[in-house]
Amino acid sequence: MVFPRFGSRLSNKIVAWSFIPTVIILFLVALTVYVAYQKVTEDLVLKRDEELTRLSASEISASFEEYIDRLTTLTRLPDIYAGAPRNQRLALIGSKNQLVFFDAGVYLMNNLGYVVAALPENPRLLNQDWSNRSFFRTMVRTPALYISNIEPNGPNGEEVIALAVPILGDRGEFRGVAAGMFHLDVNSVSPFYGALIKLRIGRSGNAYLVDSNRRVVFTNFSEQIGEVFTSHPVANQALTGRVGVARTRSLDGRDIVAGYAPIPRTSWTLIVEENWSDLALTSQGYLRFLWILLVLGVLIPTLTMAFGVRRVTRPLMDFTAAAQRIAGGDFTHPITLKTGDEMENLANQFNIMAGQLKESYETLEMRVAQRTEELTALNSVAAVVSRSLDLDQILSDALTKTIEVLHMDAGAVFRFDLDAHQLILVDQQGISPEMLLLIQRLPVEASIIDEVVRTHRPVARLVADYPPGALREVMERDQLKTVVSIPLLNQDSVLGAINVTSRSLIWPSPEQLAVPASIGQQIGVAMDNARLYKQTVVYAQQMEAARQAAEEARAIAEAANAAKSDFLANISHELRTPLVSIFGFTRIVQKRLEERIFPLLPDQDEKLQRATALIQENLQIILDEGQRLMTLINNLLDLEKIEAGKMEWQFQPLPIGNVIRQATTACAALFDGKNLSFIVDIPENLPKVIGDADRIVQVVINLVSNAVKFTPQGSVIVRAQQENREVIVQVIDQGIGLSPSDQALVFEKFRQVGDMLTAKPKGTGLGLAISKEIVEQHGGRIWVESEVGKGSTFSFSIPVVDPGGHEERPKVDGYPEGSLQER
Amino acid sequence: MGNGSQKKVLIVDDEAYIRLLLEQTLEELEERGVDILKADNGEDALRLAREQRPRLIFLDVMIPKINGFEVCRVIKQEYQYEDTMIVILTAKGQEYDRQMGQEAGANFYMSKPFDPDELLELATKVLFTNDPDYYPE
Repeated sequence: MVFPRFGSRLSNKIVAWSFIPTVIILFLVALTVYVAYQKVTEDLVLKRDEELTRLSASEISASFEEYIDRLTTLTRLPDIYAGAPRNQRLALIGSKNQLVFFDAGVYLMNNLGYVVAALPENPRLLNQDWSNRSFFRTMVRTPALYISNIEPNGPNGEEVIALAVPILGDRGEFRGVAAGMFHLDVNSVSPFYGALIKLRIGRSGNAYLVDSNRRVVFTNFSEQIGEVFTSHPVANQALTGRVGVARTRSLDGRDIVAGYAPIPRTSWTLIVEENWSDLALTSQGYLRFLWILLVLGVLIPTLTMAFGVRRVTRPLMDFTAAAQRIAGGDFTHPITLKTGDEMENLANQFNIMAGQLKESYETLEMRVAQRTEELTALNSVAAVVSRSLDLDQILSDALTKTIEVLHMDAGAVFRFDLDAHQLILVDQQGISPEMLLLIQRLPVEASIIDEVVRTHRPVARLVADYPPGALREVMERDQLKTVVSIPLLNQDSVLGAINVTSRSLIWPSPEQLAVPASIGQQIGVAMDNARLYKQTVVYAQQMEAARQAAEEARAIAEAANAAKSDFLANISHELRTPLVSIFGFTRIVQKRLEERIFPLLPDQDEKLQRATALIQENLQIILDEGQRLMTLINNLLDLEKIEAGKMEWQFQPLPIGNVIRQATTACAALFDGKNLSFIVDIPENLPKVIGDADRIVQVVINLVSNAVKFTPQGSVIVRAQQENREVIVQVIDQGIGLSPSDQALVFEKFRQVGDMLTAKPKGTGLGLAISKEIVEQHGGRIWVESEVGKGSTFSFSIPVVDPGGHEERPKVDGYPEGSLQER
Repeated sequence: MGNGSQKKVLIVDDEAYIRLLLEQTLEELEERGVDILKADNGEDALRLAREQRPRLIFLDVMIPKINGFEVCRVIKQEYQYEDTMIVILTAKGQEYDRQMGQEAGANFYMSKPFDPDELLELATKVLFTNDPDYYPE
């Protein structure tokens, strides 16, 4: 459940904001009262204790009075103050019963300090000089009562406390001293101690009677009697002779209150200590009462507030629940509150609001349903339009949907014939036969469409507003009242219109017209698409036909090319086989003639000599021409292979200098029987190139044999050098040279320059074409510089691979060479 | 050295004139007692090679039934430890054919047309040099 949680949270807040400060204040007040009470209590306790201590001190002093009286009475006896020493002794013994509590004895001294009498009797003491004893010395200066500290004043020098009074004559003159003495013993029968023992204070308290020499005259713990009293926390304060009190910690850590006061008529001090807890016992009840008050102060407001908050927040929770229900679409449960305050007022307002919400909600649902219907129509048209390229089908569908959406009775769809400025009926629905006759081809001006064409917007018109004429008459006869025309638009041109009509006086709102207008635009686009599609189909058919033709042509060309390659490969083999026989047998014939026949012929016969010379010459011609045919066939095959991409290249790093030198060696035979010098100029340090050695050799041989062919006399030079990142190889001749126009053609297939009819130079015309292909396959160039009559320089370049790596002297290619080089 | 002590050379070519040409080229050897055998297809070549164990075979590549490379490979496998020398002879001068020949185990490669003197010299050296591992360059 959501609501109680919300309610409790709200009440939590109220409690938090109102109650917690109250509790804090209450607590602070209680704390302050408690602390103040503690303070007052302490003051009171201390004051009481001080007073008590002072009173105790007085009491102790008063308890000495009896002893003093007895001694004073003794000194008033005439035998004592005026008698001879013997009389004094008798008088003292006579008073024995009154002086019995002086447990250390009573002694009389004359005015010079000599002992004259002792009780109990002790002859050893008589005439002893006690003038140095403190009580006598004090008495000489001030003849008045004296109570001594703990001193070794006893008859045998033991520590005692002496109580001394002066013995005065009739005229008050100093005649001697009477001193009564007490032992330091708590178990003594001395009533002096008995009086002191009464002074025990409280349950835990201790009392100390300390003399001015800080020696303990009395304390509850008998073992401490006679010891020096210094370690007590108040010792120093207490022995200043003032009355006072202090709250402090005892040596064993207890919280104590120590009071102190001097004992009148003595130099002693009384110190009374008690535990604080014992003293403060009386205030505990009050503290408990304070705590109960505090707890009640917290509890009572809590309960009151919790109850109050619940009462206040319950209507709020009800409100929340009602709002939730309304948010969930349930308008049936109004809020009923009888609080009689603003809440009830608010609830009433809320109920009214809910009612209004319910109403507008229902209206909205209706409108959404309507809009959905329209959009569905639009979607179905759009779906048809996007699916179909059949224009008539699209238009028919659009007509049906438009009639449906606008709730019309009949309608017709037209195509706009721009040239004839006419509307051509495409489809109709519910149109009477009479009207159908009229609208088959409708002049634009006669129709509402005229306005549509101008405004590009849907137009509605009452039949009554139509211009008088046949159309209006027929419509009125059919009892049609309203006509709506929707343009079929593509960009800015009107391609047609959908006209719908009703027998009731419907006047569509702009919103109602929006959907058909949108349909009209979609149809317009579709009409244009259909038109374009027709064109495209025609184009595509043409394209396909052209493509097929091209494909066929290509297939034929490829087949022809393949056939040509096969043919060339086969024919060259077929041609070469007989050539092998021709070569071989010619060589055998040559050999046999030379070795076996000619030696047998008679040397003298000149005719026979000429004939044998002729035979030899003819055989050489057969060999030469056979070689030419072989070269032609090989070149043809090579070129074909290169062009068809079937050549097997053996690319590898080559010492180009060695390769060219090897080629020139193979060329040497070309110069046999020629009046030509052959100069080879190749430096040692040419770099390596990537190439096919056999092919590069082939290029050099081609160029050199060309040069030999066209140079009647002079020299042919083969030169190689590195230029930048290339090795340039040149074949320089001093032959007939080339005209500039021939230079352009020289690398083409089957081009032989010069006058073909003279047929002077021999060659296949394929050598340079093959050389060009080979060089270009290596990434190089081949070119010619020439001047007619002076000679030609054919050059080709091969790119250098590694500019740092110079060629090595030994040849890299280790494959055993075929002994016969066919080229 | 095959059957008997006679030295034998086998010529394999489908062209009769070429066989004749080779035979005539090697005529001199016949005079020195070398037996010249001939075959015009791969099957016969293999049969003769197995029966006669020729010391030297001139082998054309494009021959009927079993091509020259295959013949070469079979012979080299069968007579692995004997000293039959095979010279591949073909009209084609292509590197590809040389490689095929080498892979098939051929000892030499000669392209047609050949120089008869050179062919004779090679044969003479193979057949009449005492060193069985002689390998003319």
